[in-house]
Amino acid sequence: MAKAIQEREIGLDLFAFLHGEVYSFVTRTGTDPEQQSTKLRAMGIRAGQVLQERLNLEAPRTQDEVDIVRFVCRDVWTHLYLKQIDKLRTDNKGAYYLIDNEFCLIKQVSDSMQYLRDLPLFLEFTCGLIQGIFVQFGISAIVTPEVTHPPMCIFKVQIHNVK
Amino acid sequence: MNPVCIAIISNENSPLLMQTSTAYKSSELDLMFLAHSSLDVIEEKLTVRSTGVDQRELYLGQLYPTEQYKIYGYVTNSKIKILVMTENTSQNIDQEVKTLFKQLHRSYAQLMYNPFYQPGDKIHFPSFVKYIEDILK
Repeated sequence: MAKAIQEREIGLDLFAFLHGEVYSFVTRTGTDPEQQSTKLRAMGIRAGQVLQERLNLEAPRTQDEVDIVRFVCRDVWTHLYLKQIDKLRTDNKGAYYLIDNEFCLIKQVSDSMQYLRDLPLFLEFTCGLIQGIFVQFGISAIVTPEVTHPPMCIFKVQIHNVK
Repeated sequence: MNPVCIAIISNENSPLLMQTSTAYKSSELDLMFLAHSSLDVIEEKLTVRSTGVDQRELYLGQLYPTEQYKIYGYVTNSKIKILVMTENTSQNIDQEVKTLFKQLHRSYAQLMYNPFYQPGDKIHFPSFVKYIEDILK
């Protein structure tokens, strides 16, 4: 059991490392920040679509969007980041705030102004990932990151069409 | 259990893959028609809350009987529909069909890992088609 957890932690480290490399590669190759964020987001969407199918093999049928949000908070986060989302808030108008107090990809960033400008682009992949999962469920949503005090970060999920 | 036809249909109801066993190649058009009409049954099963059926189950059970075939349906959370048609026998093959669906779903999920596969595209990978053909043998 302990070995399994250790292996998963190694996997997470590798994922974080690869993610960091992808980020630096994308930022180095393009100059247009708009284009860079689209690229990162597209990668995330694709990954999210695959992940949704993979994690839904044994899951029961989802009934509504709350089920999906819960799925992201619980199953997806534990699968990728070995923990659950810390807090979930909603404004009851189709927006959900997924709050992670110590998001593991930016764990090393200290609570200062230093990187605040770069962080949204860095989190673009994860936003795309969440978006991809919603796409695969047949719901269009826009996910935006909000970081004020790293490593805490908030993912805002704005749902568009409620079917 | 004798599956004669397996169909995978996308979330927008376009066929991604449809394979018929060699013995039934001549009635392929009939089977296609049956698959098409069973989409309506699936739609109905998903919207109408019928009692007695577990709504949280991905497996929908037998969709409707015809003289020659039995049609079973399965809808994933991403609204991918999988249909299996078998010869009409009096045996109860529910469990067998259920395991087959789980298998098919798993292979579809693995197919998604293929970087050259775009979700929603027709499936034209020889290994996957071969896998389906082996089931139909």
